[in-house]
Amino acid sequence: MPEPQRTLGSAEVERLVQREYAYGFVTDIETERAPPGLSEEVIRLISRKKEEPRWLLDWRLRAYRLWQGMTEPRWAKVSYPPIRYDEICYYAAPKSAVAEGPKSLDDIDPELRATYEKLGIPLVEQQRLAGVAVDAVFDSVSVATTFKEKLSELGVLFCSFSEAVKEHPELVRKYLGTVVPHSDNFFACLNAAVFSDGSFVYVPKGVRCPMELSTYFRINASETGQFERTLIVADEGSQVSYLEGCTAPMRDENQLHAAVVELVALEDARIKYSTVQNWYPGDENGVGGIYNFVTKRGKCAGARSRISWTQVETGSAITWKYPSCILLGDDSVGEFYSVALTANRQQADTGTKMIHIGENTKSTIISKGISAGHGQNTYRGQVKILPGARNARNFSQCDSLLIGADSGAHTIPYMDVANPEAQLEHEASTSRIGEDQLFYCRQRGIDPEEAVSLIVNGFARDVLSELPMEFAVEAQKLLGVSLEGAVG
Amino acid sequence: MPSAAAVSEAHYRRQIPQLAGSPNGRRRAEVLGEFFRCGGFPTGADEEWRFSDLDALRRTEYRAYPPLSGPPRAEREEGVPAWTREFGHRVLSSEGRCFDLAAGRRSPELHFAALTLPGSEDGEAAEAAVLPPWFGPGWPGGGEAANGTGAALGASLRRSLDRHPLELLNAALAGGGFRVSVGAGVEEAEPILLYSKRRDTGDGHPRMLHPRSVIELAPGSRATVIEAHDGASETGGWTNPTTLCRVGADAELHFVRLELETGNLIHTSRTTFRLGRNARVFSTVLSLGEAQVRDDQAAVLTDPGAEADFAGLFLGRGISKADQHTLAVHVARNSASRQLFKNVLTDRARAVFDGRVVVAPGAIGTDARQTNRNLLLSDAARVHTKPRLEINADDVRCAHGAAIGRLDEEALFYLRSRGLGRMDSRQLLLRAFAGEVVERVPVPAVRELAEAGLSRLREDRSAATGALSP
Amino acid sequence: MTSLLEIRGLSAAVEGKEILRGLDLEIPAGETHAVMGPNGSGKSTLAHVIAGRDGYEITAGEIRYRGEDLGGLAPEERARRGIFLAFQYPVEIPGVNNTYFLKAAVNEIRKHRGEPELDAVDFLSLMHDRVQLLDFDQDLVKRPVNEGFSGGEKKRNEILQLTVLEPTLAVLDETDSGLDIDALRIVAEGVNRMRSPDRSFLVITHYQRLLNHIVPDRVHVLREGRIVESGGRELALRLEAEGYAGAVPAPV
Repeated sequence: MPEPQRTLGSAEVERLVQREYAYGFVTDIETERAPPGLSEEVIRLISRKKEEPRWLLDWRLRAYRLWQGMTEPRWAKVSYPPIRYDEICYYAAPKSAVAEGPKSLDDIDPELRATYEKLGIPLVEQQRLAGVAVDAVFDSVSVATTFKEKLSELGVLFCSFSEAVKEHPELVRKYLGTVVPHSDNFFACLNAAVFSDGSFVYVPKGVRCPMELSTYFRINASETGQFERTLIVADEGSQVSYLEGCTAPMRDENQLHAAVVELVALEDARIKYSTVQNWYPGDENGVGGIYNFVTKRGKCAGARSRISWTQVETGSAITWKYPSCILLGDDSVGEFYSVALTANRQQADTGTKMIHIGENTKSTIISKGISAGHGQNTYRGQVKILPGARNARNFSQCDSLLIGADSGAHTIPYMDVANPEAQLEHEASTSRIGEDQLFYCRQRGIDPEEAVSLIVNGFARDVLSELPMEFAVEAQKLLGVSLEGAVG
Repeated sequence: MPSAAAVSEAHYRRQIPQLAGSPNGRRRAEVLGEFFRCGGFPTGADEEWRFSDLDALRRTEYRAYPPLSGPPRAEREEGVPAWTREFGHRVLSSEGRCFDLAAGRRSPELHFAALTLPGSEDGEAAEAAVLPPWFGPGWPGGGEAANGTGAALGASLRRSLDRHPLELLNAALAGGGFRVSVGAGVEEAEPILLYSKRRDTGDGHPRMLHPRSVIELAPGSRATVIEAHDGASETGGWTNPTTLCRVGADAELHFVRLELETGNLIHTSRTTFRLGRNARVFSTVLSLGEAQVRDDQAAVLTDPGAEADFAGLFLGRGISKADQHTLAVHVARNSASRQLFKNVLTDRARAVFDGRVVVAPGAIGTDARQTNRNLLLSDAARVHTKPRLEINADDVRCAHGAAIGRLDEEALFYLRSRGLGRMDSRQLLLRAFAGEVVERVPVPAVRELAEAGLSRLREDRSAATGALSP
Repeated sequence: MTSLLEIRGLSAAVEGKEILRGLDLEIPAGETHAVMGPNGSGKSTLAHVIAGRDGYEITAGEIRYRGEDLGGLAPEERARRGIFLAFQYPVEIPGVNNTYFLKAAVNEIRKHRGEPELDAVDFLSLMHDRVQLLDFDQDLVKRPVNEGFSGGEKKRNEILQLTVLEPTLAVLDETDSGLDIDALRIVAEGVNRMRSPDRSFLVITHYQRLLNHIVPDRVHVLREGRIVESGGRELALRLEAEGYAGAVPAPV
């Protein structure tokens, strides 16, 4: 006789998915800020602060004028009250970082240094993180970049966006907006108008970047949005692995983060872009948290180039992002690996676009959505095969893990095919943490919280294994922390 | 005649069938008003209608077929294809008017008929049957579902269920249709054919047809119903059938929508299913003609144990298009849905699959599967597919898969190496691909139509040259 | 000598349905006992109640293990005290590495005993030994827990875990089901090698076949939720010859 199976009560699971946010502190630092609201004046002010050339100011203003006539996209499966764009402060910077201009690592404001220590990102070129160069962005400005000199010996340019505009204007001008035009979408357009900093990377021909490059984004000031812009150019035959991390203080207000990332991979170049996103997600009632509305896109411009996106999205009240690949070069490859965790009242609508234009282009999509509590998780993706993309290949897999009866998991893949030689495969499944799995782990002596974390990590393994080692551990911990319970 | 501007509400108001003394005349006008208030014909900006360009509908002054003069003409049956004669149970209609009414007269346990209004003696009965109290304009079944599950299902879903624009238009303009009712516990072994054919009226006016049919299976009954649409047009025409199915507890309905229309026709259908406890529906769409097709099917599973199993096969030739929208809403516990849609495309044919599974909060034990497979046989064929899962309960089994590709060259080679000719090998593989859907149809005559359709798919030489096939 | 496991007058219900009805069973340290019974007699329920699975409610009686009442102890607390259940249907845990899983389990148990946790090197050498002993496929050790394992591989994985975790009381729930004769022999050898004066086994099975390989000290017949007959190994042979119908009927 098969014995009756008991299902896992949602109250039990709720307890297991309570979460604490470890990075919610505020740094008390003197901040210079623009008056709230958006106007041409504010944009001119940002541009002046950055000592930008005329063409860049004009580009910003063009974007701003266009943006004024645009409406916010509403097609995503997320809901939030209207954003008051006139109440946001578009520029905030620690005084110490602006007043005296760029300085050496030794001169960083001790408050800022302590902040990054606390976040686990020491701004020193020390042994433990010897393999990782860091650009630290604090509110609207970059406050430090490590290992710059060591990298420049190889010709690798790694600096803040503002510095790049000053030092390498020809490169910035050549590539800025070529992947994500200023007119691309509402949030990208806003970013083009007001972006204040971000990171810039250029890897010259044939160079394999010897260390991981990373940017750590920190929002600190209140009522402030963060609008950074990252541009990575990998010249012919070069390779680079880049990662970004992000945190913000716990506040009752919602703060807007509208970033743009552009990647350009020329012939035979490879770019691996990894994100561990841990913005403040809001509390268990959905109060506060970051609105993460981000446009990320890479262009495989050259033949045999490859762009790989890996993201672990555990934070933010709302995530709206679709890191995409334009596969222009023949034989180019696009990859998207994603873990998105939504707990409490978090909402995520995330996925990718793979646009196949060149011949023999290939793309792979692996998406793992985890919904806990009242979390709402949507995978939205598009694979588009254009008529000239002979012999294109795509494989997509979207799996959802549901934890608790009130959570939601949605899968919306679009596939548009205009070439008969294309081969596309899409699979999706849903699962839950079974009571039998939990009991099995517990019978072997493992705590229920630990068991849940183990099962969640196992579910996400195909994606986590794509992360560089240093960050895989961090990401694994985050998935564990996010789900850590109040049990026992 | 097509005109630049959108056709007015007043034009459509004039097309409402007039029925003296019927309270429904006024109700129809209200429904028509509702259609225009909700925005009229959807545009491509509406996600649900992205690939169904209704511009031609919006701008064409379609007219209803002129009223029937004289008694139904039985001799028209000569224009009916031979395969229909294999059906013992059949009702035939042309231009929305029955002409083989007598064939449908049966006992109260099994009743089927074509209904025409106005003009036929059966007009009042038709009106009552076409707008039964349990299916108003829109869909109370959908309303119940939406009310029962609150906001989680969202406004767009409620619109898909309650305010489907073409269903509203059909309710306002329906001039007739079919009615099938099967009594409690009746297991009807012989399939029932509902055959409808359209033609041009010869006066150059594009004509529209809004058949509104009702299929009712009482608890514990079983039946197979084939709804076939045939005919062609040179002046252009529009067929917009709505079929409302109610399947009682423990009843089982095999429903086949057979689309054979060719020529300059737009075909938009709407089929809804209301299922009782442990009721089962097997619905299969065979799109074998050469029209611009949009099919919407929806099932709301409000009772435990109900099962909705949808499948479709589209054989695309020329510039034909099939846009298949299938929606399964799981509200009760332990309900199941399946979607299996296959497309074979040559020439410049286009296929769209928009499958949607919604699991309402609390609908635990839901089992939902979606599959969409496409074979592209020409350079200019296009596929858009969007299998959607929206899950709001945790203890469920949901999965979907989609694949797009060519005929397997290796399999083709294997068959040829065993001595089969290229065309035969190809035909064999196509049959194997389509078989999964075709085999579901429990009627040999209909399966043969599908097989014949498969052999009509010509070898497309453009795949090698890049040129469009003639 | 007190028994390692003492079950007195145990009644247990699952979802309100009483399945065990006043069961008595005693297993002294170092002994191997078999519980046999027809389908639906409550064999698996007994295993799950001993392991403390949620949803199995003890309505009367008690289970004492090393003199301690197990009632109220969570499954992981029982596991850490040395109770091991080899599952009839071992569960798949996708993506979780078998070795990692077992290391986490070993260290939880060691922590409970106040022993230092094993580091990766020590643990891997322990695993290596045990894997060799069991003739276990190295590849399976690196794969996710039970994912894509055949029925036989899953059962062998249970025995591998048994040999690594070294419990004091091992409950084998129909470990023989779905095993071919070679796999059965390997599993039985693994178990026999573990037999020692301070370790007890409770072997739950429907068929006598397994008991040819794991020879029990005592055999009990379970029927309708209670032990209706106990005896030596010959009882199992008799049951095989006569079927359960021949066993003493349960008093009504």
